[in-house]
Amino acid sequence: MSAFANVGASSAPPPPAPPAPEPRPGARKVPRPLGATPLSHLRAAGIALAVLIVLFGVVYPLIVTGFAQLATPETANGSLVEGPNGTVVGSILVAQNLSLPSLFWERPSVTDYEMTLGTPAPLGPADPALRAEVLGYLALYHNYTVNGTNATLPGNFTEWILTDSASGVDPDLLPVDALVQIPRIAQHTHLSESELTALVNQHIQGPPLGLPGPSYVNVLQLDLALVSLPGY
Amino acid sequence: MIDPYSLWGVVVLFGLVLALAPYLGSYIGRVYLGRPAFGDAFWGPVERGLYRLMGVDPRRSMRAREYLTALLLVNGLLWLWLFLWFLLQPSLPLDPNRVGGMRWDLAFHSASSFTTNTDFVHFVAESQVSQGTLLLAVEVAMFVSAATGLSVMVAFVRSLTRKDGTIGNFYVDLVRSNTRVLLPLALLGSVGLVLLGVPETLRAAITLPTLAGGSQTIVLGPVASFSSISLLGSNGGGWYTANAASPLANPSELSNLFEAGLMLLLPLSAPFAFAQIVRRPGEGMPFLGTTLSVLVVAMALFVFFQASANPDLSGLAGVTAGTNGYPVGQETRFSLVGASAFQVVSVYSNVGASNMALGALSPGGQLVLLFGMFTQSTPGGVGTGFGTLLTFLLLAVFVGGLMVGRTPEYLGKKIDQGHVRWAAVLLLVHPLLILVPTGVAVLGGFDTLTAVGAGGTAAPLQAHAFTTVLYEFTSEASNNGSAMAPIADTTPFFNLAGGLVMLLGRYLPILAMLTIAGRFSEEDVLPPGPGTLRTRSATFMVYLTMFVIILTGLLFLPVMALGPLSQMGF
Repeated sequence: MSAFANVGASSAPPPPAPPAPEPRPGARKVPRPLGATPLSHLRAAGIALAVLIVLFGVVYPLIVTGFAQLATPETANGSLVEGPNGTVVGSILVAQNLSLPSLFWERPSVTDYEMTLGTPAPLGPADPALRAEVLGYLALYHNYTVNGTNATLPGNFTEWILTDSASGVDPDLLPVDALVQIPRIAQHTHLSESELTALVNQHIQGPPLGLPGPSYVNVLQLDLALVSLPGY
Repeated sequence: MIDPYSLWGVVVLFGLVLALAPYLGSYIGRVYLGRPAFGDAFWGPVERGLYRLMGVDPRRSMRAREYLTALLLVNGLLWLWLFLWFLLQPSLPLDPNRVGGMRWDLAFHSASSFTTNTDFVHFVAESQVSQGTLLLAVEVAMFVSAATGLSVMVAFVRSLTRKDGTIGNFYVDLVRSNTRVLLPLALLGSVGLVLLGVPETLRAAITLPTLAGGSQTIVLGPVASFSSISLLGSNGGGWYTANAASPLANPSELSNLFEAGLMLLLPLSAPFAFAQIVRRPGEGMPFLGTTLSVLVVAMALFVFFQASANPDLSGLAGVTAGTNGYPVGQETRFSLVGASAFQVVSVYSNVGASNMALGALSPGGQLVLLFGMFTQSTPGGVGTGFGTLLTFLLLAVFVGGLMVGRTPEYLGKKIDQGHVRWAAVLLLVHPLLILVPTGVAVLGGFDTLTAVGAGGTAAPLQAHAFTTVLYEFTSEASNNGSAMAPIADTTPFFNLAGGLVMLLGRYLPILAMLTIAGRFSEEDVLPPGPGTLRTRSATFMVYLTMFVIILTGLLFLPVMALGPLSQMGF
């Protein structure tokens, strides 16, 4: 602090009192002029900061929160969704661990979908460990346990479901990565593969108006629809 | 690979921002000239009351030295406020998630980071920072640091029109930047983000039972208002550690484009504000043209590098490539073009927000991002980026004038060796602040960043490790804030060296810009003569673009060759 005060002191001597270069319209009274002493600078800076702290730390977020709670209460509170028995089971925007054999699975997460653990550090393209990681995830999606015995699900997955996302909680899959999980789910529910295919197709989100572009499915939304089907 | 839908999204985004920029720029110009502007009826009395409380005479204009003193004083107090919050947050209010206190070196790094508009984080926001710190310290710093940048730009530009030795009143510029520019835009941005589905609540976190019978904690808060100023003010800090990759902070392709627009808004309005303040319509065009041409080429290159398939993932049984480019460290809901546009815009305007994992990018993509931080002026951070480009332009006029035998003058102000000396300081501080700490970290054995994922010592991994350290200090020196290595870098060395680099990388260039401004403000304005170099031409714009690219290339080519270029096989 003293360093700043010294700079202020040394700049004190010649205030050349320039003729007001920018007369502000509407400024009727002339406020007390600022003497160029360190103390008056400290006062100006301190008061300015104190006012800005209240304005931006308290008033601004409260105004926006008030608006959001009135305009879009559902998304403003985190896009939470209820499960089949009416309790909140998650946020539609946040991937969660869904690795039951009878559910569609999410993209993998090294932080086990826990936001407070930070984000994953996906491997660089030159890292030999990346190939091993992809093969590991592939084995995970191909093999699963049912009634204590191992089962295998063949099929081609894309690189997307076999690699880490940026957030660790990417809630979406390419439609093809959902479709390839259908045989496993059909085995574990009373639903036919064609019913499940129809379900996935209903949940594909993409560009509006049928334009060509990237499309995906939200896995939690898909699973919530799945568990509420009569044959589940 | 590149679908028209995503491409058109980015084209429309740029079109909209460029359609708004002249109006916003002209409004900003009027605000800083003190001319009647929208909002006077409301803000006029508030501001007058505030000046009286502060003991400031708004009509008193300061010389450069006093302006700098006031700026450093406000920033110093802000730094102290942040440092105390980070250090003492467990005993301060608003800590519902029960986070701990920070070690002093991490608090030093964090306080320096948010004061300098960098927002480089060495902590996990969800578990290491309280809501009180985020709102009362960090969010305030996001406004004040952006206002500081705007003030520097305006003072610099104003000096070109002055002869009385003064460049404006810092306290007035600070207040008006906040009330007239940042707050209204941040409110509009927040409304947009709220409508696009970003959370905005006073609840801090919810722990809930998941569908498969587990348990999960969803971290919430006033995310929309926080992200809005973070992006607008070229801060880049995120409520979530995953930043703009977090699906809560950036829920869709549309929100992704909207956020990219928020980041572009002030940087692309700056040339129009400049033209308004110097009262010469059209003089902003070389700035805009240079910025846009560098930005568009960078985006195209980035998409090209990211679209190329990764050789290491091909030919695995049971794996197909999928659509939409290279997936590692990317989010499914964004298109390749949309995600890339966001990331390039973010790094080139020194926001530093990320919607992808930068450590997993192709080496070519990393090179493109590094180049933007090396120039730090196309468009660069709010205010300071434009100031840097203006300094580049002064150098270009000086050098070009010597080459073609014209008088080195700009807008009637002579450019002599005094200006050029400080312009050279601004230019050379940047490589020094990047190369010296990178060298110390790598040679001195302090490099702990690259323990992440480094599976061996093969040559491409060594180059990747070098790039990671280089990226760290480049991001800090340019007050950017994006990072390649997430949260593995909390050793005292990286905290202290990084904090120092951010402070010097912020205030040395500001010192250089205000010193040049001080000299301009004391000089007469000459009428244009036959020997005046015309800066309002397409030729000059092309020359300025090449000048920026070649100068940056010369300064940084060796270090690019050690990192990303060697990874690309050169």
